[in-house]
Amino acid sequence: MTGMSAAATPPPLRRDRGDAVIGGVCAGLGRRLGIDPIVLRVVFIAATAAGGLGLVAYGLAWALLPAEGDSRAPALRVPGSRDSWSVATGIGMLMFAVLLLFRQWGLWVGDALVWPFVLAAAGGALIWRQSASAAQPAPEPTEVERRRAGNSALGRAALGVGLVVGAALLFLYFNDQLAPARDMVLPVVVVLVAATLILAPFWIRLVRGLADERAERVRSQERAELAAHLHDSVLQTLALMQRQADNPRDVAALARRQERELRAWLNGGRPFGERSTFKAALELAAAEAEDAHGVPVDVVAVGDAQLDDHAEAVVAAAREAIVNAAKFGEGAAVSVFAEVRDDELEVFVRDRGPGFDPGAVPADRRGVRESIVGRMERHGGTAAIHSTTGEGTEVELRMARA
Amino acid sequence: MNRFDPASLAAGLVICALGTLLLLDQLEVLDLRFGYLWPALLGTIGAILLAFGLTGKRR
Amino acid sequence: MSDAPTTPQSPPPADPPPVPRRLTRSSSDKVLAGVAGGLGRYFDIDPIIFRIGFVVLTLAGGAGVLAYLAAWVLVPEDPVPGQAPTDRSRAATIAGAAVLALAAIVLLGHGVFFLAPPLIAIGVIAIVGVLLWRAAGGEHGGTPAAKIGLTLLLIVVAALGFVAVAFGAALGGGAVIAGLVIALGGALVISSFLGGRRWLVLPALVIAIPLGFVAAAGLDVNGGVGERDYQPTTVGELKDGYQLGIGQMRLDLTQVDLPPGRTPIDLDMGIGSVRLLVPDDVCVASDVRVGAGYTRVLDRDSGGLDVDWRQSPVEDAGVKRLVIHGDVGIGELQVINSRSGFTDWEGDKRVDDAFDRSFDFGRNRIADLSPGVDANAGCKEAA
Repeated sequence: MTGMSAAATPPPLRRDRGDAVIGGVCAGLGRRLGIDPIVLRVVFIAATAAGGLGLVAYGLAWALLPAEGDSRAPALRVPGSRDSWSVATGIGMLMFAVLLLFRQWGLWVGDALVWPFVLAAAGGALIWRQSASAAQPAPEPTEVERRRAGNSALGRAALGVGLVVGAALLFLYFNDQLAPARDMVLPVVVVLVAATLILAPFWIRLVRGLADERAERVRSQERAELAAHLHDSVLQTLALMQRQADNPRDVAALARRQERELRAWLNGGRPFGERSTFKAALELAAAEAEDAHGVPVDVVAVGDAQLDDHAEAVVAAAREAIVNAAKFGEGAAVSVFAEVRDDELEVFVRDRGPGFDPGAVPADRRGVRESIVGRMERHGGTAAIHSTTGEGTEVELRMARA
Repeated sequence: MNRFDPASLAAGLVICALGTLLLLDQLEVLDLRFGYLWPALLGTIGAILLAFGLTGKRR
Repeated sequence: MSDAPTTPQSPPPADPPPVPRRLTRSSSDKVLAGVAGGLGRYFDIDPIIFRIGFVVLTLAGGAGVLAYLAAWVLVPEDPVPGQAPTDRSRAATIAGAAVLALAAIVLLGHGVFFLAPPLIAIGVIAIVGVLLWRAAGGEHGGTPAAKIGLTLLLIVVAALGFVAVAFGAALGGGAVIAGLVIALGGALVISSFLGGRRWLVLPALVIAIPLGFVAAAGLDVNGGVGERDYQPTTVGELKDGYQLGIGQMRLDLTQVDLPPGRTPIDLDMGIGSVRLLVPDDVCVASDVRVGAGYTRVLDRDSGGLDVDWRQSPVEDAGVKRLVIHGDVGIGELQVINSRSGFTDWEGDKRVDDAFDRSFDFGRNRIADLSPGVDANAGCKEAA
């Protein structure tokens, strides 16, 4: 087993999307340098006002620095926010290209009509999509995801509004109505600002009251959830355990299962038993083996990955190895260590059982061994089985990631 | 990994198309003007972005 | 008895990243909202200095009030001991930032917000390039410093590539370069079956884009560089065609006595300006193509991209007719007679009007500079 000492490295320079206002540049920089992001925001704003440097620098930093927030959330959703940017920009450019082609061919109503219309349509589509997706929230988002979703929703809505306003201004400009429009708008703006200043204190008080009420509601909802969960699973298990009191093995198994479930629920809020990611599938396989053969199986998994064919193969091979260890390990506990690296998946299945001499392998066990090694190799990975009589067995599975 | 990458195929074809357009202009078969250049360039870049975005490389 | 199974050690947790000291408004040392108190505590300076600063800034244009208000909104108050520090809501932060920006503008006065255009252009190109690179899968770890260095290097290489390709194409190598683009596209197609080399997109675009621009403008810089001044005195000295790659060409035909009937003349310019002075009694017919720029014949002008100009006035018999065939890549072509002057682009109001009317990206609207007066009077036989 490779040594696992982690050298203390300074935190890498990243954008911090969890704390972000726009792109998380100031939050990430502040974290790395140990100063409050607000100070950095002021610096950027000042630099922007003095010649636009701040904007350029911010833009460059945004494009160059990778986002920290990404690696915190588990890799569940396939189209990341970066990919949807590419798709959106790509489609936008293609439509723009088609429009320009029509313009060149003369199928054109006129610049003054088409461009404002296109801008307004784009802005309207953004705003519409915003309100539509707000009506159907994603299932069970974590706190960070919810906050980030709220932030990006605000950003998109703002962009949509900006586009529609821009379209209106463009239309007025094309028709030489810009100056008269300004004369008309100015008094309205003045009245609005005055009204806002007068009503602001009432508004703030109202909003704050609503926020407090919502927080209280969320708290009581969480309390109700906790009570329900305790009732459903933990109380039932305790009742079962009392009934099986003279069967220590069954009691131990019940206790272990409940411990696993409670731990998973406390940690992630996701119900145990979902085969959604590599780590979850591995833990599930271990739990099933444990239940079936009555041997404790410990799983330690570092990192996580999506469950593609290769990962499935690893999980299946690992399950074989675990079942093997449980069956022939004579009751010794089985330990599973899995590590998800950037370039490969690693799983070690170890037991402290009697071990065996690789040379003198009984026929049925050789078949099982083939199913482990063979399965891994079919998917481009490797499997190695080390064993010494009296020292236990270790199965080492490695699979390169796509 | 020797898996087929459809995005590269699409991007390659689109770039070949653009190159052919440019070649035909240079050989005086077509007359490429800005009015046609903008759609060609934007369409190429847009298609490439779309292809890459739809099949994002996992890391 | 089997000993306890050795559980594989998970790596010890790395040190949590340093939590930045938060800037908060002081709840203890507050005259108004505790802004100066909080600032003083954060920077370890006596708050009175910040108070004086705010007052001074207020007197100098009101920026102090704005800054104070912004800080009031942006900066959170001291957390109640025992609770986690609260974060400002995003909307409040944006509002505060906007107010701060206003304060900065007020404070710095006029010299503000002259977004240096070249810097912005470079910045935008850099950002687009980086996004394309990342979309093509360019991120592969490494320290940010190395990545930034590598990205800047790529940007410089790309810029040099643009210029090199543009020149190569303008000098006549366009067909070869187009072939290169096709080859890169083919390589990309082949590579898709071998796992895909997405980064090939970048060199292909770096080559294709400048070639496209040169091809669309019809740019040809063969023919020399510099200034040429021609003043023929007889028809014999008049050449069939005048050509220049890059520079300025000036042709004065007022001394020449053109024969009646058609006299064709070819004008070819890559990048630069062509100016033609014609006698008053000559009828001017013109067929001009400008890739990107401006053209003016007597009292009509047009400009923009893809300028395609054809003017063929009907002339009476026996009149002298100069048939101008012009081809300019990027620049201008102007034909005037003694009654008008060349339009220059240094703040001439008439040019501004022409630009507004005519710079319309290929629609080729022709503007009349002197409506009601026919400058091409040479087409009518003198009474």
